[in-house]
Amino acid sequence: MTQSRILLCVFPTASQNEWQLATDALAEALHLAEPELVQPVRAAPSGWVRPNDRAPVPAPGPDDIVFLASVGWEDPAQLPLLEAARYAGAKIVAYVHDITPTRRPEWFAPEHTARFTAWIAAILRLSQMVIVPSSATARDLDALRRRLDIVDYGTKRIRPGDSVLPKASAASPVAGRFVLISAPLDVRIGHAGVLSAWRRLATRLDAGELPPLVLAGRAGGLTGDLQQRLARDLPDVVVRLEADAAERSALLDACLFSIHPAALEGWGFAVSESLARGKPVFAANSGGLPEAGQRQARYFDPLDPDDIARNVERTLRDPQELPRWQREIAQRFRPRGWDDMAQDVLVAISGLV
Amino acid sequence: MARRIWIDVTGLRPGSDAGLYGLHLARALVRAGEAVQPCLRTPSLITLSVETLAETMHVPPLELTDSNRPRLTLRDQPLKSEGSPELPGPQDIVLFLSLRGDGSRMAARGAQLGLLATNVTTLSRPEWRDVREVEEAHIWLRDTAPLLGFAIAQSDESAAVLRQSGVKVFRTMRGAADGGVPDAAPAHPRPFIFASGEIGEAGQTRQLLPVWRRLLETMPEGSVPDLIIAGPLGPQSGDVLDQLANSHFIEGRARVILYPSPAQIATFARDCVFAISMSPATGWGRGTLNAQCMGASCLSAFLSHGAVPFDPENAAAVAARIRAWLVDPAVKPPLFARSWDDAARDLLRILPQ
Repeated sequence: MTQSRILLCVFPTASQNEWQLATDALAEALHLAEPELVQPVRAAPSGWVRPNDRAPVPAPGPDDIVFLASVGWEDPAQLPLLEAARYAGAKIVAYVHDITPTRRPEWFAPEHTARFTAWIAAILRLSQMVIVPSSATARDLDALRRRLDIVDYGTKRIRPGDSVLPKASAASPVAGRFVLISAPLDVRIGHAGVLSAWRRLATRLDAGELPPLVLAGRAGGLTGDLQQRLARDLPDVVVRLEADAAERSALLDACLFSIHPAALEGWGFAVSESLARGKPVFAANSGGLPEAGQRQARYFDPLDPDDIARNVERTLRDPQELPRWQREIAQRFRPRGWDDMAQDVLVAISGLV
Repeated sequence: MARRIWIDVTGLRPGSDAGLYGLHLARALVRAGEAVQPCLRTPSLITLSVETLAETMHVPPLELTDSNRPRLTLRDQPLKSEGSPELPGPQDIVLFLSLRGDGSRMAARGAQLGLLATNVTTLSRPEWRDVREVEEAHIWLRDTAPLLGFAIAQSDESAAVLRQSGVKVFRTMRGAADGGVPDAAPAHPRPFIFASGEIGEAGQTRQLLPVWRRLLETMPEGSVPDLIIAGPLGPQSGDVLDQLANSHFIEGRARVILYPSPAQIATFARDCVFAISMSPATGWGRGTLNAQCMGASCLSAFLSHGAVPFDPENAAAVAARIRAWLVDPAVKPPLFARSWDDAARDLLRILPQ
């Protein structure tokens, strides 16, 4: 009898964004958990290959599972190989973080949305199981399946690990009290609402009461106009577009609290990362963020800068509030590692073979 | 020698609200029997007739579509000089329509100087404008304010800003509408809301997309009207127009018309469910007034004109207000139609004799 394999397919990118870091963490945890069973592969025009030396890997058969740990819609070699694997009887399992391009096409170039939509439709048709991080993504997938008339063979929600950033190896580059948004400066994140809230707070609080807002993350899409506004003299805003993962980690350790205003994310690693470090976090009340933040994060309507300002003001005006909140997080937040998620993934997909 | 009223349109962009304001007023002053001389400063002063000013300010309407994504840039004035190269004399009055005209040379000739401030958002809302434009406006006001006999403001906000520079300020009302005659044919096949005003940060156009997404997510299917955005192109408009195009104009629910003609504005205003004007600091309130002149209710972020203002940066609140108006149609505010001839008469009462 042939030994079963789990072909772990990761489409690598050079990006240091949270999604890529999370994919790497999951892939490593899966491989460590079952080094004999789990074989990292990637798609190549010639067939499946090992990622490190590009040595060929035997094509998957009926006893094998191909696990897509990240989206591969930018990889033209992937879909034909998945179709061949499925034809050969292999099981396909995909981890889908979110389907934002189909929900908010305005945030992406049309060709990006078209390629992503074609890819996700094909993946939903090919996969025996889709693993999602949140009920929010599950709902979005259900709606997409209904729209495209695709049968749901099985969707499994598995909570990801919390922490994707490396431990801080240097001191924070920003000194003193500050509040952090650790995310790409991208239209998807919704920085404008928080900036608007900060302008309101500047008129309500006394001088020195309002801490600076630090925006840390690379420049992303459709924020050219926002960057023009940020280039003005805004004394309460510090922009660090070159902040890498290590710097964001140091900033998170040093900030008073963090804010994550993204209206539509499948999980919200910026939220769970903050909590895993015992750091209070305000988060958008939509998408997968309330699932990432559970009862320990506090929530606002990302389209309502007054709501953001009210939440922040209440916290800043009461000197006991932040210590109290931090104690709550320390007592109640149960951190989750990537090895925990890897075990849950292995249990879920073992039922397929 | 009879006095002439010089209208200095230096730096006004073709198709802009300020440019049209100057044109309407120039025509009304001519009808009132005044000698009007439009002019603009290049390296030297050039003069043009009122009809050439009309041609200079005219930009043909352009509807953006999926297959039509022109490279959009803000237009500078085409330079057309005609008439005499003579300069104003001591009997003349020079009215600057922007913070760019050649004050010192005009004052040296003995002419009396005044500022017709359509709006002064270059001073009050610098984050909406180009850095260079803002710097030039501050330098102009520093150098020219001592030479100005008076300023005429179209809004309380403009008046307050100008008073800070020590200028004597009069507050007047402008003519109510562009006077376009609506087309016989319906403007649009489905119910729609008409968003009129400068497209860009000053018009808060970027907020319309999340507002419409919120409406589509929270209201019954088929109950959200389409969105028609019409106005001149302003600074920081690139990202929002890209987003609209990326979304295929909110999946066919939105239209964007750049530089709408007076007839188009009148037709949209006549046929809309109601109009919305997103700019909180527009000087003229052209969108609001045009809509009201055609009998449309107007939801306005602007504090003047009797409309109940809203906060355009709060997309959640804007969506809630629109939803409320759709569910319970607003009582139309009393029409305050005022002709450009009335506006010219007000101006003539203020001008030194």
